[in-house]
Parts: sequence; structure tokens; C-alpha cells
Amino acid sequence: MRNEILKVVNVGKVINGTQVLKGLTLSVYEQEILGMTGLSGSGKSVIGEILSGIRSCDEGQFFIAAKKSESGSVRRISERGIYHISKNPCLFSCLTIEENICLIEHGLRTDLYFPAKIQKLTIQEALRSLDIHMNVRATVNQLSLYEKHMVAILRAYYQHAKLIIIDNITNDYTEEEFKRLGNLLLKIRKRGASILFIESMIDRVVSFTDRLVILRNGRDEGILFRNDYNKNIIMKMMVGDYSIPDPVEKNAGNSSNHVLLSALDICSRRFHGLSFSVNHGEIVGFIEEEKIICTDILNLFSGNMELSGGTIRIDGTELNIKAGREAMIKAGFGYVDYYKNSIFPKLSLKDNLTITSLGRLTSRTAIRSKLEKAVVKDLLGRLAIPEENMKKPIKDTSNKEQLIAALYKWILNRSKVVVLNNILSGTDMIMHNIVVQFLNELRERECGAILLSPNTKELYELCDRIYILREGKVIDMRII
Amino acid sequence: MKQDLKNDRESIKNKSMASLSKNLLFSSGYFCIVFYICKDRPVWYFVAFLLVYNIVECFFCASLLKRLQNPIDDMLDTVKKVSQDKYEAQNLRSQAEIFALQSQINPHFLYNTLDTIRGYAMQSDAKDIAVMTESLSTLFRYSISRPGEMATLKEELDNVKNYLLIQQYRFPDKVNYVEEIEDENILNYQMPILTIQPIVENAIHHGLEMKIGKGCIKIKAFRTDSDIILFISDDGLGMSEEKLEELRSKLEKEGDDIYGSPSPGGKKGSGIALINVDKRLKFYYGSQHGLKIRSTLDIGTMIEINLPLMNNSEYESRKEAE
Repeated sequence: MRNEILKVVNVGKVINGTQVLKGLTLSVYEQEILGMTGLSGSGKSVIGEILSGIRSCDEGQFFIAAKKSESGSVRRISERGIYHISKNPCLFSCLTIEENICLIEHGLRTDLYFPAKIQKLTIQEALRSLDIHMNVRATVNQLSLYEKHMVAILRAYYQHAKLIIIDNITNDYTEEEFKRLGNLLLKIRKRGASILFIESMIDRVVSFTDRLVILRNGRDEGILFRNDYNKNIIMKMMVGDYSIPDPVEKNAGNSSNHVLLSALDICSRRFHGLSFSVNHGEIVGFIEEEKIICTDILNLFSGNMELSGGTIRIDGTELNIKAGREAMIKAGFGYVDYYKNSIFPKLSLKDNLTITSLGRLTSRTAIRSKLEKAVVKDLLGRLAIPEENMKKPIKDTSNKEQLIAALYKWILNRSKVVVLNNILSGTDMIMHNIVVQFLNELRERECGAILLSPNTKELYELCDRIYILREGKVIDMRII
Repeated sequence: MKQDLKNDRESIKNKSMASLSKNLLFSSGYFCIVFYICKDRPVWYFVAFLLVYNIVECFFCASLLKRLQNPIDDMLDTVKKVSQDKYEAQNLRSQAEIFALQSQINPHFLYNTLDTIRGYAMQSDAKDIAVMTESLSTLFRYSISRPGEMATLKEELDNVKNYLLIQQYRFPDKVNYVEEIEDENILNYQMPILTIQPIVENAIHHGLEMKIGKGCIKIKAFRTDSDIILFISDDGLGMSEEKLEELRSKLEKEGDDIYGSPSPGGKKGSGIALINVDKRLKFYYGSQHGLKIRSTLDIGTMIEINLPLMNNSEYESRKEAE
């Protein structure tokens, strides 16, 4: 017999006039890892937030352990054993791990010391039973993102959580970290808790879940049990009437031997004689052995690094790295971080696309609006984006359009080298295609790109060349 | 219904108690202060405070009535619905009796004829015809001779197997059938007769018949602490989003009118079998039960049935009501 931990019936939610969830019905059973996936914008995160009380729902019923409950209160929901782990977990960075774990304990006993001895012992026991090796006296600000998530999960386990909602936290995980998370969740399930694992990457969501719910347009349009998992079926359920988009292949062989960007003997506190180059039409990735993501390269090109020696040249012209990001953009660089952070949410799609190229679209003091409109229209036409979205505030458009704005504004700016930091984080298969298409366009235009990602597999898929760094030096270079 | 009435009663009780306790608290506080103020003052002071108290009390009463309006309305609706249910159930029973009387003669003639064909087939060593005829006879006996009855899950599944056996002769090597019952005890669970077979028939008719190659029908059943959950899925043609939406709105619309027969003019392909099953489930178990349809074009369709676990007394009373 399966005991129902959580049941939601016909949940509906409207956000900014858009029906985000419609008639969603879902059950989570005891000792079950339920996966949930769907395209970007299918309502995964919204249902995660509703279940954990961060948002309220407009319609629908909500049962926790067969008792009717109401959404919209994190405290009430957590008191009933449901905990939500988001990408940025709610932890006090100045407190230690054990303090963070014990701080929200219901019915906390007043003691001379905090955490009390019994609490410390319970934490040690929890760590032992879950096989987690962590110095619980370390402060949270010393931890990596993965470790912070561990602390949040451990805190939920310590509070005897009945259901832990893991809400899209693995976007920036390495494969190794993901495996460790999977093992931890399996152990937690074995000890009686249930997990709702919300994830957009299909390969990951099928790896250790018992059952999978596939969302499409805010509805649960597919349920698969573990024996029936099939990647193609899942993808088709995600896209519905549309056919599964063929993966856009990277255009190989476009790169010339002409060097576009070269770094020679770069020396700083982090680098010790670093040299590399990017050719015209080439996508270059960087992997640092000791780090999850190669942040030093990002800092170097963002103008945040003091150099003690070496030169960087773009198209033969020496760069003044210390001049900062604005000067770098003028010199021909473009930057894209996580796409949601690379846009101006209140500006329209058109304004977001042209914001970097206003210099070229301005005549004396006025913007040549006809030209601006024509340029954007042409681009949107090429990318099959409906023209009517052009004037909408970008926050009201789809995630796909937001990603396009974050990327293509650098094409309109005619940037020579685009630095892409973890660009595939939180993207689905359609958005993945947009990124590959963008990189292909850079290749065609004989521009270059520098790609940084915690996911090594992705780097090998997308790049033409990869530099492997150790202790501030290139130790290997692989041509793909 | 009982649960709804109980909930409404609880809600009214809770709201009244909360308001009354607040009122009591306010009154006692108010009079303490009034007595303290008025102890050395003329009596009209007290009269004035009493007047203010009366006005405040009027507001209290008005707000209490306003708060209780919704739960009382709900309760009245539920009571109305219960009496309407009883009246309609009576109507349905009468209709079923008339139907049973009308069809009393024909089925026996049909069964006897089928048994005779089976006998001739066996004599002529036509084994396939004998098996087919037997299956057909059993299928008719199950579906025609027990209208409105309850059947166990096992009987329902056996009926599905019987139906599929006949279909195997029509479409050899076309359908693969898989059954996954997590808990054998649920095989004795009583449910309205002909709940599963029409859905399987629908899956073959609309999902697998036109599919190129072999298809699969899968029935998965398990129990939770309060329900029996059945998943009936096929890997047939599935439905487009538009068609699915149309079917869902039909179920929703027809589900509101659970006593009427399905809309006239329902042609082949309009999901009439599903609507019928959904209506019967809603009639037996309430509007929160019924079918949930999930479908994806070119992938297949999955129907979820959620049946409440009933204890023996509930089941007996249901049987008596029938």
C-alpha cells in the first residue's frame, strides 16, 4: 500500500494575466522520489513554490497526509513536514552549519548554549546516517553552492521532513556533485522521507526517480513509472503537438587560422604565465581542474583582475584589461551570464536587443527608431519570434525570448568575442538549440566565444577547443 | 456528501465560536473599563456607554451574520443536492428496471444461440470459432445480464481479457496486454461494472487500430491509504492538444449533469464511452472522482481512475440504495 503524503487536485494559478497552472493534479507517496520535468515555462517552479507555501494558488485543493490544507504559508506547510530547497537556499551565511540547522527547530528548548548538546548529537547522528562528511562548525559563507544545498537538505531531514521539494537546484552542478546528491536523496528516501525532484534536464531527472510527472502548459500531461522511462517519450510529452526539435548540430570547420584574441604570458595572483588564443570563428572553453567553474578567466575578461605582466590582444590591438568592462565592450567584447540576469526585465524585447548597439543606431542625439525597428524585425523574423512580442516588457515574454535577447544583443552590437558564463544553466532542449544556433552564427560571422560551464560534457559538445588549466597555467589543450 | 455537510457544520461552529469568544472578551473588557470610569460619575454616563455598547454589538452581530452567510449557503446547497441526488437515483432505478424488463427475452436467446454455435464448432473441430464464441457469450453475459451491478476488480480484469481475446482474432498480433497489480488484495475491491472494458475498447478503437505495428495496453493498479488507483494506458496514436481539451471540457460539462444520458449526436470518436464511465463513477462516488485523461499525440493516452476505498458498511448501504 502506498501512503499519500501530499495530494493536490486541480490546481490553477494565473500570474501577470497568464494561466501558468491549469487543472494540475499530483500525488506524492511515502518513500517515493517523484520527478517533475517540463519545458521552461511549463509551471514546474510555480507548483514547487505553491507546494511549499511561497505562493498561494488561485484554485484547487491541497491535502497533506489526507488532511485538507491551505497553500500560501511557508511556516504552516513546514510545520506539516514539507520543506522546499531552492537554488539559493535560505541560510544565514555568517552562522555555522549546525547553527543554521538548529535555528528553525520547532519547539526549540532554551538552553545555556546554542546549539544545545542534544542538538549537536542529533546532527552528528544525522550526518553519520546519511554518510555526509562536513565540518559542522564551518560558517556557511565558506561553502560551495552544492554544500549549501546539502546543509538545507540536512536541515529538512533534521526537522523530520516528510517531503523535501528539490526545486531546480542542480543547474550549476558538476556530474560528480549530481551523483552525490542522488545518493543522498536515495538514503533520505530509505529513511522514510519522500522527495519531489523538480528538474529540467531529462538525463538527470530520470536517473534516480521512481516516477515522473511531465508538465506541459501548466498541466500534468504525462505520468511515467520507472520501468516505462524513455527519453524520446518524455521529450514528446514535453512538447505535445509539436515535433521534438532536432538538436542543432554545431558547425564544425568554420574557424580560420587567423588569431582573433590572444593572451600571452599573463601573470597575476591567479595566473602564472597563462597563454592562449581564440581564432576567428572559434568557440573556446576553459576547464580548471581544482574549480567547478573557471571564474578566474571570467574575472580576467571582466576587467576585475590586477595583472602583473603579459598582454592581451584582440584583432592585433592590445587591450587595457584594467580599464573595466565598459572599455572591454567598446573593444569588442560581449558578456552573457545566466540569461535572466543578463536582461533588463522592465524594458521591451526590442530595447533589450538594441541596448548594446545604441551607439550605432543613434544619429547625433536621437535614436533612429525606424532603423532600430527594422534591425530588430529582421532578427526576430530570422529567429521565428512573433513580431507582436517586440514591444512587450521582456519579463512578460517567454524564457526562450529572454534568452534570445541576452544572446543576440551582442550580435547586433557586432561584438568580436562573447564571454558566455554558464549559459546553459536552467535551459531546456529548445533553449539549448538556441544557444547552439547562436554559437553557429558567431562562427559564421567569424567572431569568437569563450565558454565557461561547470558541466564538462556540455563544454565538449559546444566548443571547438578546450584549454585545461591548473594552478594558473594551461596544462593541456584539446581540439574537438 | 456526508463529509461536505460535516465540513460545513464544523465551519459554522468554528466561526460562531470564534466570534462569540471575541465578543465575550470584548464585553468583559469593555464593562470593566466602563465600571471603572463610571464608579464616581452620574448614572447617565453609564447609560451613554451602554448605548455605545449596543451600537458596537449591532456591528458585531452584522459581521457574524456576514461571516456565517457563506457556510450556511454551502450547507443549504449540499442539502439541496442530497435531496436532488435521492430523487434522481430513484428515477435512474426506475429507468433501469424498465430497461431490464425490455431486454429480458433477447439476451437468453442470444446466449443459447451462441452456445449452440460453440457446440457445432467443437463438433466440426473448429477450435478457434469455439473459443471466440465462448468469449463472446461470456462477454455478453457479463455486460448485458448485470446492468447496474457492482463487480470486483478481478471480474473487471477478466472481462477485459475476454474482450481482448476476441480482438486478438480480429487483429492478430496487434495488441500486447500487460497487467501490473501491486497488491493482490485489491482484486476483491468492488467497483461499478464495466468501468475498465469500455476504456480498453476505446484505446483499441481510437489508439491502436490505426497504429502501424504492434501496440500495448497496460493496466496498473495499486492502493493508497484512502483510494484504489488505476492507470489504463496505451501507446497508440494519442490525441492532439485541441482534441484533448475538447474531451476534457466535455467530461467537465457532462460531469455536472451526472444523471442525464450523454449528449445526443455523439458520433464515433467523440469519447462517448469515456464520458459514460466518468458519469457513472461520479454518480457512485461523487464529483471529485471520475476519469483523468492524459494524452500526447503519437505517444498514447493514459486514463487515471481514482476510486475511494469503502468499508463493508458503506458498501452494503450503497448496495441497499441500488
